[in-house]
Amino acid sequence: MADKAASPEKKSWADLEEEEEAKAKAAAEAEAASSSSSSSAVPAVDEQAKQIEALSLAPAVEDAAGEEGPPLLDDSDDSQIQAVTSGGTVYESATTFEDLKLSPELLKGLHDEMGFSRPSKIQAITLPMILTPPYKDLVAQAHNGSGKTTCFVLGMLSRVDPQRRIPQAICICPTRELAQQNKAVLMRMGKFTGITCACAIPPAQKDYMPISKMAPITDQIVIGTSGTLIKWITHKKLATRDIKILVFDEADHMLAEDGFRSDSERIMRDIQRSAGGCQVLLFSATFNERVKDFVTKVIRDGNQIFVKKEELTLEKVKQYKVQIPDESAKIEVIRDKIFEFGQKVGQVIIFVRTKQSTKNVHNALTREDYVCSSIQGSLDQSEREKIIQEFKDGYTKVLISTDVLARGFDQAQVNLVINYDMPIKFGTRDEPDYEVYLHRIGRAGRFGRKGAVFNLLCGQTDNVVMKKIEDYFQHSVPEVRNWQREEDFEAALKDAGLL
Amino acid sequence: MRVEDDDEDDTEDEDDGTSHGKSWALVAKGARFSCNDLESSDSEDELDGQVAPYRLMEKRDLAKSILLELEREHHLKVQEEVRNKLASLEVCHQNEIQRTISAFARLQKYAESRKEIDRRLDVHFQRRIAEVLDKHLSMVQRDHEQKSQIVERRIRDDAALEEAKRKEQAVKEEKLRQERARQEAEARQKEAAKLAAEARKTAFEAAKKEAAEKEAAEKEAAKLRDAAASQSSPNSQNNIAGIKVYADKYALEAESRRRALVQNQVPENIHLSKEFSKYDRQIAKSISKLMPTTDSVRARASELIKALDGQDCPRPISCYLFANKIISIVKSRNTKDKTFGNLAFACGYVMLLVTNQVPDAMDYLLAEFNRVCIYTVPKHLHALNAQARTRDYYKLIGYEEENEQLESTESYLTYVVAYVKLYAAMIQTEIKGVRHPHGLAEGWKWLAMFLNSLPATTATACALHAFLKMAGFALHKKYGSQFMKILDVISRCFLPALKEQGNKMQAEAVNNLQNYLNDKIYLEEPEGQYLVQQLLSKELFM
Repeated sequence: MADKAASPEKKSWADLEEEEEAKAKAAAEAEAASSSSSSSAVPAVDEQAKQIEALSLAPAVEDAAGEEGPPLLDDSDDSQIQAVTSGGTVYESATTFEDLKLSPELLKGLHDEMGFSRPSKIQAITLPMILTPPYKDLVAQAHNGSGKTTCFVLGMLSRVDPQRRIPQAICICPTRELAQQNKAVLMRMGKFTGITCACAIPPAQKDYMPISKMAPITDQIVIGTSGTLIKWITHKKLATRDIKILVFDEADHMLAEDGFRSDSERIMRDIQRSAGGCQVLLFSATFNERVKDFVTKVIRDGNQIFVKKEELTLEKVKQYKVQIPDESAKIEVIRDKIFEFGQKVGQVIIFVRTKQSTKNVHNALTREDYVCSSIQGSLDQSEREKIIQEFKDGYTKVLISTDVLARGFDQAQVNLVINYDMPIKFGTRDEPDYEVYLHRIGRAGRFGRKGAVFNLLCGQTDNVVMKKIEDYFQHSVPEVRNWQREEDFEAALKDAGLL
Repeated sequence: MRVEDDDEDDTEDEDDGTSHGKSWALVAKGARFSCNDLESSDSEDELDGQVAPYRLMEKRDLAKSILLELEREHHLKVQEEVRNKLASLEVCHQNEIQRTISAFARLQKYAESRKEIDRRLDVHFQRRIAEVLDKHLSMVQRDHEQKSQIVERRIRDDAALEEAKRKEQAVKEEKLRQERARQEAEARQKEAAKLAAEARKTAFEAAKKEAAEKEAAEKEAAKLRDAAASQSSPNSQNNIAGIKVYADKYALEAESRRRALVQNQVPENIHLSKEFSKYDRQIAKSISKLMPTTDSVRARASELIKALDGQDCPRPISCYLFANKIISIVKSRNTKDKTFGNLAFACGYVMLLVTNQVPDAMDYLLAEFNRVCIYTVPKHLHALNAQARTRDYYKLIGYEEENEQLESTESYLTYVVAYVKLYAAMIQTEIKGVRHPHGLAEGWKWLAMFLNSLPATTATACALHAFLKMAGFALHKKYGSQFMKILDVISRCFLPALKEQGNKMQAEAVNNLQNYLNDKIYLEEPEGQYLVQQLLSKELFM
């Protein structure tokens, strides 16, 4: 099943670009072919247009009206997706959201609120799997920014019964930020459905309330972190008997031994004991081999979609490495080269390791009048949330952060990521954290947009780390030759589409 | 039979009397003729039975027996008489009953018929009333319609007048500008270094050469477009034959005027020339720093005004660069994201602040808008047949090329929406005490021209929705019921025309517009209309 599901997947992703490029051509042909059929509709349109003109005093411009409808290239979308349908999975992949038999309220939310016109690849393939009885479990791996959140949020929203005021879906996230982000997406998408959502995250210090005084949950969907969810379940505040669907976001992290495996297993056991036949969905952009093994053991009878690690790096996001002699030169490069020439840079995330570098970068860029947000340890929870929100609302240009935000942080305007420090596994000196690296890259180039990643390498250790990363993903990262030469950066940025 | 007559009279008198009453009266009268023994006809039989046996028991003489006989006879006679009378009375009574019944029936029938007539009359009157009311109402409606038509006509006349005025003014301005530019050039030649002048000259020459070669098609297109607009285009050029232009004449004139301005003032290969790349980068950097906060907008605006007003770069070129960079912000952002609204308004503020200080810049801005998106003119190019639907046609209507491939319609529409949003944000931006050179009135004009001359297609629907989404609130606030009329036109003419063509992408455009009208989105402020004053990120750090 895994192979079967994965192979059409691969094909579709590879085909996507070619097909998009070939779109105009195909469409022109399609148009020519359909010209005869469209001509019949035009006289009527014409009359309507005349009606419009009849309302005005301006002389009618339209006498010899068009014999054909205006060019509409969108037919090509169909052909492009049909190619996927022929892939031969047991489920029909959905070319439009309408195909999924969603409620009208949900469709309205998707189109009006979210502005989605059609499902992305991963959505087209996984949504039928999620929504078709017998509601099999699903493990899905897909590229960063390909729309996984929409998959499971939509899955939860459409499987929940809005009439019953009892928890029916649970989503577990590794961090509170992610839980809040997912909740925000869910509230927007489900705006017209009347479905409510509770956020199970540790309360801020100031509005702490003992769990025993809390009212039992009546919202249909609960999104939260594992610790709080367990607390709510054990204190019987969260009834699990009617849970129909259980989602793990960033599932590899939730099921990793050094992550939240024990918590996750406990919740899964609890829910499956009280609500038999609960559907489990695991989503992530990364699944390393060990987690993959474990997952296939836990989810025995389910659909699986995996992507090979060599194909995980995003095509549209160009990666570069720059050799830099010392720390202060890093800031110089950011300020005088990358920011100077990157005319089309939207928002930027700079990943740093220490508080001191955060401060330095922040001050240097603020002096240049770039509006920056920084996340650092001394902030309290609510301040941190507000600062992230400001960045998300597009009020600040640069976010300087540690790895807390690497995973899942969705900000559509980010098209440049700078690795001020390379991601290194905790407790080691030169062992790169591949997943974190991939997630960082994934912050740029959301939803197939162009983007760039600059890795600032300083010293031998960084070089070793970079080499290991290149080997792991089998993707050679081009180097910007001379950190002092403007032309080199110009060329790199131009290539990435940021100039 | 006097008695009978009497009786009949009596019975006739008491027409409504009961049968018991009748028989009683009858008996009472009958008593006059009978012997005294007979007190009442009721007790007659009893008396008879009692007397006879008693008299038979006693012995009587003949006379007595004869008397008895006679008496008996008489008695029988009377009895007979009474019986006859009774029978006749009975018959009479029966007749009477029949008569009353029939009279009743007649009466009832009559009442019913009266009722029926009444009903009929009622209906008739009601119909008459309704007819009169209807006539009156339709007269009132006609009156209203006439009134609204007059108002609409007046608005349109005003718009035309204003347009004419503006054109005049623009011509004057252009003359002034050209003179100024000439003066500037002279002054620069005198005082500035020779190098710059030479470079410019060569640039101009190169531009002209290129314009001659490269832009032949473009100019021809322009020619044809103008020709088509004035509806006298028998001599169409062969390379873009079969393309029909939908646009308002004024809009086209304004567009070609602006294009001519840019082409005359700005060398073609400006992006390649090293000389201007410094300014290019400076302006681009300034714009890329723009964030939707009051501080940022103010700082960027003053920075840009300085750059545009500065002495080192010729005004037309810096204006052109400014326009180009601020509008190409669409290219570097994800315009589908909700944060784009904020940014568009921020751009609107900056454009307003800058054009207020540097009035020339507005024409360059509009020229750039018109260049990147024909719907901001508003104008629609329609390929009449499949042969006309060439790559050049697509490029003409604004498709971008990348790696020798045209972009997809989806991304094309995304850009159309984004450009129109930016345009809509610009026209509605208001700052107290700052006059807008291209304000909401222009937006109203745009909307009117758009609906008057453009056909309903996916692209126009997207553009219209984007414009309404951004500017609908402001237009509704300013023009009130007139704006509602425009919406009415959209729902009555534009939407049905759009639905006629029915295909997948159109369905979405239709839905968007439909929802806009149904949900009254124009009552909601567009997202990001107000800039943020304070940022926690700024306050908290260090």
